[in-house]
Amino acid sequence: MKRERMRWLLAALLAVSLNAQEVTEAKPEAKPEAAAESAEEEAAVVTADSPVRGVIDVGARWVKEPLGDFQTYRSIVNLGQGIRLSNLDLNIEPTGFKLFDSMRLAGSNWGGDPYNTLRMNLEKRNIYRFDGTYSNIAYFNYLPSFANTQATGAFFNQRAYDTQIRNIDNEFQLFPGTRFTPYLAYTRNTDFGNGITTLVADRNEYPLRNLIRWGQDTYRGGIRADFGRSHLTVEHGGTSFRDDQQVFSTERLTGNRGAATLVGQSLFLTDGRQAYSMRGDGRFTKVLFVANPYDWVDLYGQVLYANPRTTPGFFQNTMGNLNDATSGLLFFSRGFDTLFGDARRPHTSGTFSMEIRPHSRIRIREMYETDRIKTDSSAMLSTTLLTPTSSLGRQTGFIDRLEASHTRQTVEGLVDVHRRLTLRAGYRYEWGDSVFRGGVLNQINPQERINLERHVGLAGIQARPWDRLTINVGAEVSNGVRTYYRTGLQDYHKIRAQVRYRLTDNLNFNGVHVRLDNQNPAPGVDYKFLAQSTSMNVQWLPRGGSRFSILADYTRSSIRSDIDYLEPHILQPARSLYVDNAHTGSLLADLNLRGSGVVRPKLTVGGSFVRTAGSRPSSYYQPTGRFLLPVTEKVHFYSEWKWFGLAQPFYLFEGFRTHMIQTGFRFNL
Amino acid sequence: MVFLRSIPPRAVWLPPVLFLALAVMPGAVFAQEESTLPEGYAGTEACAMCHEDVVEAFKKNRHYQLESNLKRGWKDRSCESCHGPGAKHAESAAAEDIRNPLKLKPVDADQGCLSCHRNQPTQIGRLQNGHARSQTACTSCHNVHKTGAESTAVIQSTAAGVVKQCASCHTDVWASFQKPHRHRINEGVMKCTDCHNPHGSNLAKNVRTVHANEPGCLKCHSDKRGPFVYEHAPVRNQPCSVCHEPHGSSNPRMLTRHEVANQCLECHANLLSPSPAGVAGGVPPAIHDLRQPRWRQCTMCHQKIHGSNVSRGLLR
Repeated sequence: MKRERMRWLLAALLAVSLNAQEVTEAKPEAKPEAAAESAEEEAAVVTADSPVRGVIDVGARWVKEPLGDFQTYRSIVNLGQGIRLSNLDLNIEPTGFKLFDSMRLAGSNWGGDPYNTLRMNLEKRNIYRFDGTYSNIAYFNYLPSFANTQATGAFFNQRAYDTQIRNIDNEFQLFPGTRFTPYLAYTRNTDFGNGITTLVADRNEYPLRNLIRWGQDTYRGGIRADFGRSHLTVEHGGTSFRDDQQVFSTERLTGNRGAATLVGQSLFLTDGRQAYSMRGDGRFTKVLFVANPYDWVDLYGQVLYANPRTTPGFFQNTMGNLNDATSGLLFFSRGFDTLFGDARRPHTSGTFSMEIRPHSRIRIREMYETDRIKTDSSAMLSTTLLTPTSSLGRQTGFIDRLEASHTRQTVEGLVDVHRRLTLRAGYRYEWGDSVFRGGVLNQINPQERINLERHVGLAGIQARPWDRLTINVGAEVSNGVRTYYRTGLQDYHKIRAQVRYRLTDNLNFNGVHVRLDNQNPAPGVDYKFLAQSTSMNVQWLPRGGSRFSILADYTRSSIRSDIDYLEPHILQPARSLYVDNAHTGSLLADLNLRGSGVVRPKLTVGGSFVRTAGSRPSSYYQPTGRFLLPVTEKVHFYSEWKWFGLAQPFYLFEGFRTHMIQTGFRFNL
Repeated sequence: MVFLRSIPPRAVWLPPVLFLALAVMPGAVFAQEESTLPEGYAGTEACAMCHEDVVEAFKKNRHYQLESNLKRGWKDRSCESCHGPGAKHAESAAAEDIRNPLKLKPVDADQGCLSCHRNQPTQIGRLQNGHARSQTACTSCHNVHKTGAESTAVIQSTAAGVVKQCASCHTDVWASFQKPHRHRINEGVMKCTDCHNPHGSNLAKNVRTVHANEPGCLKCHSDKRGPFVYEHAPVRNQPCSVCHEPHGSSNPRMLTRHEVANQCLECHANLLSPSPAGVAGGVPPAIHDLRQPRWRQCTMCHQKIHGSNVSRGLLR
């Protein structure tokens, strides 16, 4: 019995000793120099290891009543006033918590601002990961230049929006092992609010109120499989779309014709209503694979398929004195339109690419991409027109079709001539065709067929003559045989050159030049397009930016587009010339001011400017200044000033100037 | 059960001893593995002898999980998973005896990263990607050793961080975002990677795809997706950028021309369609008298310009 007890005791001691050994291994060995660390450094370590780290910025914002056009201010800047949670970035890493190892929570502009974001990442290592984002973007666009400038009254702008676009993205991944990763995701995109739109009747159009409400839900799920040298992802998903816009007005509107009559009669609308009831659904499938069967070859491929469908419903009711062009000069007092339809669009894409490395200095890349779309649609429109003496009814059926295919094949070789010099050359062939219904007036070709064919030469150099200097040049030259549209890429060359120079460890220069020259000399088109941009930026952080740092850039860009077109009413040739010459610059200078203890203020000055000349000259300035004053180690006071100013000589009524001041406290956790 | 019955009654100590043996055996194997590094490798402990601060900081890095992950094959050698065998360097302490991805040719640096990360769905369009074409190494955007606010994970988790990183090379694009009409990048509500996949895509300019193969623009602008009973052909057979300048424009609808009429009429200017040059377009009817402002705002009437379910002329 005694011997048995001894055995148990020995077993228990063994277990304890094993356990103790593990604990000893897990703990880092105490270092002699650790004892010499100051109390302050110890405190910093404790802070760094505390389960919650991050910053919270709470403050208030004032925006001065803009001088100039308030609607333009709202369309471009649109910042709200009041108390805000302007920034939140928390990283929570609790020890021994079962639900998650780490949680990251980041958000901005909460408290009634037009733009808010929230992001959450949750992770339990080797178990799951959740990523969720939310963004709310105010879309206000009410610019007088985008309207009939002869119109007056509340509907000066006839295409205006005051809506909120909200996006929610969630993805949940599971890690049951290293081989398979199943995941599920849900995305929601909605837009709701008000607007002004146009009810287009024959020979007149009337601006009406629009209640906008549409949204789309997307669900998808899949599994990623990793087999060492190959990988496969299979994903399947579905979408659900609805659009319930409502357009209405009960006022008497004379529309854009104003008092102008049509064969002696005034056109007006006393009641106009449109109800859209668009419903859509679809499914999509994605198969991706990657394989690296041997060290010298990589294979990539994907097959993507989507098949969205829409079943539209539409109802329109109009009252007043309106004209029907289809029936000649028929004037009617009331009209009803009802439409039901169906549209389907299977869309298939495939990509296959591979890289072969026959030699340590040579890489050969082959890429094949194809994209095929086909829309088949049909609809039935019932129209009833009531005149004071009669009624007219008609039903019109529509069948429509659009097909498009686009394929490109690229072969490219890269040679490392020297460890500091890589040359690249290749060839790309693009081709495609598209079939769709011709224009309304096109009696000759009810079905139009257009083709695309393009031969493109590719070249590039990457050189690093010294460790601190990198030169990267890429070019494309094309001899286009056919292009779909008059402004499409035809005979073009594209160059992008970049030079990066690190003069010292704290002083970096970067220069970029981009040029695209496209021409289509075909008779009746005679298109010439040239876009150029040259940028320089400098980053200077003396002593690692401990005292001050400067980040500045300047860009000179120009666009010139020149093409023939026909004035529609007289069919006379004219030139469409668009010129835009822009100077753009931005500066950010940080200055760490002298102080004592934790009170070391930081001043940031800078901003950006754009000055353009040409077809639509404008100047837009946004100087800024920011002051940060640490009150304690964990609480900082900040104050920020910004000025916004837009001026457009051709659209003087679309200018504004305003100040914005934001101040508050930053809490460092 | 037969086996248990065959155990002599006095041998009751056997089960606990067997249990202990089983418990200790993996430990013994474990210990054996710890001490047996492949030839040429020094192990993370050896790295920490000289680079203690780097190794300590690296412990907060996601890559550090390799240190204890048996399945990945880099147990106790997480440093050498990127830097290569370090035994020679540990002996000589010479910089040339160890691989430094930052100083390698981009292709060699990338191969190091891709040896683990190649098999990821985001890499599918890698070869079509402009970054791969222009030899931009992974380390240009991703730093491995930085921690805290300087780490890639933290920088790339905020819109401002991503934008700053992309703008450091794409200065011309950053300049476009200073124009008055642009996507809300400057407000911090959007970032470059919302629209672009920097690792590659099957669409030009690395534009992301949604719903398998639709352009990423439709993620937020899903009302433009359709299908529509009446499609506007360029919306389907051309990228959105054929009419829009998404980075910034002087036009309130971010068009590539200063006024919408120019945008439309540059294509709709063929008497015959397709024209003898083979391009589509056609001419609008003669009622469009451009001398009157009413007709100069094409999309004021053709409001469903991206596609309509009701009107062949894209009017409603």
